[in-house]
Amino acid sequence: MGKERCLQALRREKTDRTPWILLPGAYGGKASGCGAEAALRDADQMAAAFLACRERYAPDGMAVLYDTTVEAECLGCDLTWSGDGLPAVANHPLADTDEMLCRCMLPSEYDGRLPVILPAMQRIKEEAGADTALIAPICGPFTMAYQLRGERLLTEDLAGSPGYMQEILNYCAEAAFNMLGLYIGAGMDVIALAEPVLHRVPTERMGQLLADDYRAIFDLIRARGALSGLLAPGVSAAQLEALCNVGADWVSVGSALPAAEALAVTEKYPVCLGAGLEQGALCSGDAAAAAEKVRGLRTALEGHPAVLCGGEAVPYAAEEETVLAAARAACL
Amino acid sequence: MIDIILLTGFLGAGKTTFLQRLLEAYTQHKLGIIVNDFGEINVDAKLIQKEGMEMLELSNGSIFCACIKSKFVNGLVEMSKMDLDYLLIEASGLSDPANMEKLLEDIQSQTTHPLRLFASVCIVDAEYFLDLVDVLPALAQQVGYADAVIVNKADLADEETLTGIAQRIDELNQGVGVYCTSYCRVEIDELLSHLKSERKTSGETTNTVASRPSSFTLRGKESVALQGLEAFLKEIAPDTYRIKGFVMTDQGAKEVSAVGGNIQIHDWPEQTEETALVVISSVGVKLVSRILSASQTYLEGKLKL
Repeated sequence: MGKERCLQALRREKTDRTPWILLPGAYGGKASGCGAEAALRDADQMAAAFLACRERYAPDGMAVLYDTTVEAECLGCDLTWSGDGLPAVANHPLADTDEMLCRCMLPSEYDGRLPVILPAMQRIKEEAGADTALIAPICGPFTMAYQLRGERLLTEDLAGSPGYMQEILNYCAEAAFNMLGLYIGAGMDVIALAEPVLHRVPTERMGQLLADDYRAIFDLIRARGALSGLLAPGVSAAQLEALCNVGADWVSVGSALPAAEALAVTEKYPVCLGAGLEQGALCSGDAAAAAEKVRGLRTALEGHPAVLCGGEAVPYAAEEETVLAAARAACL
Repeated sequence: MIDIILLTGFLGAGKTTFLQRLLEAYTQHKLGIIVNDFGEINVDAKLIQKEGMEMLELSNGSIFCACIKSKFVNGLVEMSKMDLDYLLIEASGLSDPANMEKLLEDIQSQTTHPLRLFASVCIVDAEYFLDLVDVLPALAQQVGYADAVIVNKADLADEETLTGIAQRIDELNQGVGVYCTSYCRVEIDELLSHLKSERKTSGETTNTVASRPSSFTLRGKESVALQGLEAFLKEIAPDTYRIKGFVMTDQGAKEVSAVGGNIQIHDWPEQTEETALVVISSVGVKLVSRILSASQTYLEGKLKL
């Protein structure tokens, strides 16, 4: 029931209530007790973390993992692991050169953590795929380019090197093609581009810079039989408008953009809006307040093509009782 | 000593056609072949496959680029162990052979029979050469390092264009022999006995990954309508450098070859159980959207990326 509710909403069909999608990130390891790193590096622990969250919070849809460093690792970035959250990119392979990576570096099933992630996805598909919509975020091309290039992408390339910008985004879009093929092959229902850095692109440049690459990715996702999403925390209403027409079925925004204001934008386009709680509310320890905010969100989104899902992962520091209260408010 | 004849030239210029002519002319010689194809599928290797011939296929990039150079080098060393008169190497369309002689020098100690670059023959596409030579550095390098140049598809160009091509070739490689023809019909013995006597010194190749365009492979297990295929190709060809492969149609298996707007579809006599079509984009990844839309419109979505 939950799976169908979620997929119907993403297809902008009527549903009995607004579905909610959980993006646990490293929090899944906390929920299952194995810790963040184990949940992101071990196939059995990854599957166990997913199943524990599903059992406890009963979302309609859920991300198998939400970690934008997976692709970066495949492409040659080193990662640092802090133990209590997602890993971070430690270096930028293209920071000191104007060359491009070789196409033989584009991710394959043998690279980075994919030999762990893909079997975990297959197992999750077997055990939970009938009832829960399986979401697989992949790193979006802009954020991936940022991981490869560092700040130079924004301080130099964006303004001064349009040719290089096009080349690196093209390369990262090809990396995304490979990733979506692998994840859909492993049974995922929805592929979402995670773009936590996207909000730093000037609004007037967003469409021209990214629309074609996004459209190609979303068209390919659709052609392979899955639904598509774009997770863009931190974007403004004007930036959201630029993102509504790039072919994604669903666009999630961060909590800084009020749901009503976001809806006023998305309603003009054939897209489902994702809106969720701010991360701070989940870490506050105030379960009642978190539940109240979720009820407020549900009221705002009721009757619209929407899902309860902000663009960011549940923080590792989230309080378990607060997440539980928010989950119950989302489902009742 | 094994003599290497290296064939270079842009995508679709006629390298494989010329290679076929060499094979027909050299039936009395012991030949080895290395076929380098740009896409994921080595279409050219299928076109020239012959029994009893030593052939190595190298796909997914240029033999002079870091991507597959080590495989190329290993292939050369392996070929040097065989009793061959000639080693024919068909480089991929965007290959820059500037470092070929240096490469052979570097592997000298590893080879069984010495390998010598006997001839570098560049095939130029009369229809597109002048449009592309200043945009794609590899094309200028191919002409620059050639010992002979064949200006192919001369029937598709007017006198003014052919004169322009001859001038440009002379700027890039003064004194090189130039042969204007169609379907690479040249007197091979004449060409190979009048090679340019002094070759340019080996230099750095421009084959970096930045010069490598996006390529995609379409596959399908169902036949498509031939009419639909023609419409599909016409729709996407303007945004490509090259399309080639084998397609199952309602009128039998077809070999497809397109260079820009010039689309050729021929009967393919061999059994093929799966369509495989390589498309090399001239517009980056956004071609994907156009391919998917055109596949849906003209081919009922039967060919998939």
